[in-house]
Amino acid sequence: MKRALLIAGGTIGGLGAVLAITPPNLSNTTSVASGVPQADPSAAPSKSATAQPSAAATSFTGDAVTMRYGIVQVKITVQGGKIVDAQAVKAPTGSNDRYTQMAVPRLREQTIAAQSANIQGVSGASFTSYGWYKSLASAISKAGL
Amino acid sequence: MRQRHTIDAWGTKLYFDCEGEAFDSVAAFAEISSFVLLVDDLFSTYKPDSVVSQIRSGRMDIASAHADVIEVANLCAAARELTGGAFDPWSVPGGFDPSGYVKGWAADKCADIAQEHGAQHVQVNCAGDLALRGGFNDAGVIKPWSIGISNPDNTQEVVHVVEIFDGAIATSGDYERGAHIHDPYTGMIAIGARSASVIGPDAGLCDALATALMVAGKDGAKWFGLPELTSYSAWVVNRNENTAWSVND
Repeated sequence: MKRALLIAGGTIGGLGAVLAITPPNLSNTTSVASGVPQADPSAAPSKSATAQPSAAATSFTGDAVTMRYGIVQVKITVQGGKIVDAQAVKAPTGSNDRYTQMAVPRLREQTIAAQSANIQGVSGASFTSYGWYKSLASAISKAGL
Repeated sequence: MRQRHTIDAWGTKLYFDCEGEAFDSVAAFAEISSFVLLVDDLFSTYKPDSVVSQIRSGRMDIASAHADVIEVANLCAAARELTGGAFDPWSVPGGFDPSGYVKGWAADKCADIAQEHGAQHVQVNCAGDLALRGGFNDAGVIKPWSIGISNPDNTQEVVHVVEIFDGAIATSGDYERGAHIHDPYTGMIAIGARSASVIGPDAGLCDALATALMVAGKDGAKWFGLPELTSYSAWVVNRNENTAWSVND
């Protein structure tokens, strides 16, 4: 019992630092999608694959996901097999407005950096975030990435 | 083939990400959907005629309830022992309320069902309580599932990432649905932590331990020295400081 408490105590200092650097891990991993585009055009759904000659930018809108605090819907722009932009078409408004405005641009950055989020799930409470991932996933699948 | 699926239930979202060469997704998600409905009928504290509501109002004994309710009640009693009473579904206003165990327990059951139908790589996410099986197939390379723990002060951010091949993670916090965890010792709202995540083999026990850490805070670190909990670890954000602690990490 004493040992466990000591272990816990010992990690407090180190983990304080971890909390300060958020979010840690979303941008530094090469993704599933980045390897895919040229590698296997045959595996991608034919419509979107042929609809994207490398120069043209095409937009795909994900499903609207209803969350407790509103609807989240993501639109991605794909160029040359890569996500070059991600926007919230719909995001919760009203009393959560200030919060959403802070959240959406950050998620947008993460999406472009990570090219189809390199974490596969989130533990905790992230209603808007969850909606973003869900809508993003459907936009990515529509884009055939 | 990888199949992602969502079910709206229990006032929240359930998310499934399953893959397997012989995975029969139609049969799996049909069975999971009926299981999810059953769980609601058995355990909902919002439905006046659910089995748990009947137990709470004294219309039924646990001993004569559905086998799943008896199973969860027994598991809750074990979790109460392990946590020295910090997790106690019997000391909640309104009577027996196993909600702190059920979501994790059900996540494991859903993962079992997916595996029975051929899924080799499974993520079940019951609103933050996750059951994970067989790692994640990243374009042909099998890796552990990377699971982010969201920042309690800004749920759009990930503050910590854990990698789990086979196992579970549950996070409890006062931020998702407002303060909802009750301290069985004082009768007040739990104040031991801002959010608590527990990683281990059994999703139901992870759920209960995360709830209990919200009550006990750092005092709960000692539970993880118990022989029953050597394969469990915790990652906890403190209430009033911008710090976190972990045990068995």
